[in-house]
Amino acid sequence: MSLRANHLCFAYPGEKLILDNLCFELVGGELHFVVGANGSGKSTLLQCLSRLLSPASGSIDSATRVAYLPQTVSPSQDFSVWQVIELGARLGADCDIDKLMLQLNIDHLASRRLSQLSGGERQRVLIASVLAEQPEFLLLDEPSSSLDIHHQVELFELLKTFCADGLGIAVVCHDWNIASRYADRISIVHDKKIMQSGKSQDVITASNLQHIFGNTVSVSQLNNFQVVVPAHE
Amino acid sequence: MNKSILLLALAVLSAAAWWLAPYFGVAEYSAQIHSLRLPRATLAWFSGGALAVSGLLMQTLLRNDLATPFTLGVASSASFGAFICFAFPALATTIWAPQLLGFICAISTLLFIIKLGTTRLGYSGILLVGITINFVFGAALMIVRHLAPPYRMTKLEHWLMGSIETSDFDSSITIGVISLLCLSLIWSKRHDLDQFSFDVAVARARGVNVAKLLTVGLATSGLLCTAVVTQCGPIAFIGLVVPHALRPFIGNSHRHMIPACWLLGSGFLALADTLSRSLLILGRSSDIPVGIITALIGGPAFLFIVLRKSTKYSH
Repeated sequence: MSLRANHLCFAYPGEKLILDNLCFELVGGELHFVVGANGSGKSTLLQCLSRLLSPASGSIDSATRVAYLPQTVSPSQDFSVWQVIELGARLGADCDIDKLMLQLNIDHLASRRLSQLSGGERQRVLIASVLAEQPEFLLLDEPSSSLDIHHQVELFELLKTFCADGLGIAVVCHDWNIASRYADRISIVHDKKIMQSGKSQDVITASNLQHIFGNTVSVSQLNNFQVVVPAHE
Repeated sequence: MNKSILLLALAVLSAAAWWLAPYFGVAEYSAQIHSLRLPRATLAWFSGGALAVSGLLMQTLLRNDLATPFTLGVASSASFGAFICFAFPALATTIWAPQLLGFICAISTLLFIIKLGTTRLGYSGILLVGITINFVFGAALMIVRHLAPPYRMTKLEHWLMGSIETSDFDSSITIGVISLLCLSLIWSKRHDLDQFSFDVAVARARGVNVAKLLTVGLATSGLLCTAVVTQCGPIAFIGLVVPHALRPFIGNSHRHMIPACWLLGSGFLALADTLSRSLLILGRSSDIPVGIITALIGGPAFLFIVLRKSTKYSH
C-alpha cells in the first residue's frame, strides 16, 4: 500500500512552477523525511498529497485515508484538548479517544485548553487529533520546528511506534540530523524535483549537501549516523 | 454541568420570558391584555434568536471575535432601503414597501460581499469591505435624514434605534419562516463549522469545502440579520454578546452553540423589550426603543466577559 505522486507539476496562478515533473512515493509503515532548502517546494508537495492543492498536471494515486497537519494550526477559539481530538475522531470509524490519549501520554491534559499547553504538549495533542482520523498515511509539515531537542526526540520516538503499526508518515523537516537518526527513507526536494530518495547514508552525502547549500555545511560520521555540521572556514 | 441540561434550562427560561413578558407592567391578570401583547413578545423572541445565531455565524466564519451581524454592512444597507420608504411615504406604494426595499438592498450587498469574499478576499478583507459598506450606507442614511420632512423625524429616529412595535403576528411569521429555513441549512453544516473554527487548512484536508461553507454561512447570517432589521430596525449588541456569554459554558461545538444562541438571544430580547415597554422614566411610561436597552445591558455585559477572559489568561 502506498501514496504516490506521479509527475506532479504545480504553480500558483501567474507564477513560476514550484514542482516540475516530481515523482514521490510514501509506503505504509515507513517514516519518510522530506528535506531541502527553504522554498524548495516541500510543503507544496505535502499539500498536493493531501489534496489541498490541485496540481497543474500529474496525479496522486491513492484511495486511502490521508491526514495532514500543517506547520501552524490557528484555532479561532480556545478548544479543549478533548475537543481537538474529538474533531479528528469524527472522521475515524471507531476511534477510542481515551485509549489514544493514553498512548500519547496526554490523558491528564483532557480538560486543559490548547492555549494552556507547552509546545511539546500542544504538538502531541495536534498529532493525536490527526491520528484520531485513523489515517493510513500521515503528512506532517515541520512538526518539530518549535520543539526543543528533548521534545523532538520524544516526538519522533512516538511516530516510530505508529509506523511499526503500519502507518506511513511523511515529515517535512529542516533538521538533517534528526532525519538521519529516525528516517526509514529520506527524499531531497531540490530544483522542483526529488533530487534523490533513499536511506540516510545514501542521501546525506557531502556532494548532495554541497549541491544544495554550497560549501556552508559538511557531513561527519557519529555512531553510524550522518551528522551535518557547519563547515570550517 | 452537562450541556444537555444547560440547553434544557435555557429553553425553559427562554419560553418563560416569551410567555410571561406580556404580563409585566399589568396590575391585574387579563387574558385580553396578554393576547394583545403576545405578538410583540413573539416578534422580540424571534428577532433576538435570529440576531444571536447571525452573530455566532459571523464570528465563526470571519474567525474574529468582534464580528457581529452588522459587520458586513448588510444591516446598514437594509436600514437604508427601509429608511427611504419611511422618510418619503410617496415611495411606499404598499405597506410592505420598507421591508421589501430593505430586503433588496441587503441581498444585493450580501451577493456582492459573497462574490468578493469567496473569490478574491481573505477573512480580514471581507471585514474591511464590510466596514467600508457600513460607512457608505451610513452616509447615504444621513443624506436621507437630511432631506426627509421634519415631521417624519420622530418615527425615523425611533426606528433607527431599533424598536419592536407590532399588533399582529405577520412580522413574526416572516422572521420565523426565514429563521427556520436558515437554521435548518446551517444545522446541516454544524460539523464543518467546528472544523473550520479549529483550523482552515486542517478543515480543508478533512474534506470541508471552505468556499461553499463561506457562501452558505454568510448568506444565512446575512438573511437572518436582514429579516430582523427590515422589521424592527438595527438592534445592537445581541449578535456580539450572546455567543461570547455562552462559550465558557457551552464550548465551541456548533451542535450546542446554535440552539443555545437562539434560546439566549430570544429570551434576552423578549426581556429587554419588556423592560423598554414597562420602564418608568419621570413617573411615566417611556417606551424607549429596545435597541437602547440592549446596548445599555449588552455593553457592560460584553466588557465584563472580556475582562474576565483577559484576567483568566493573565494568570
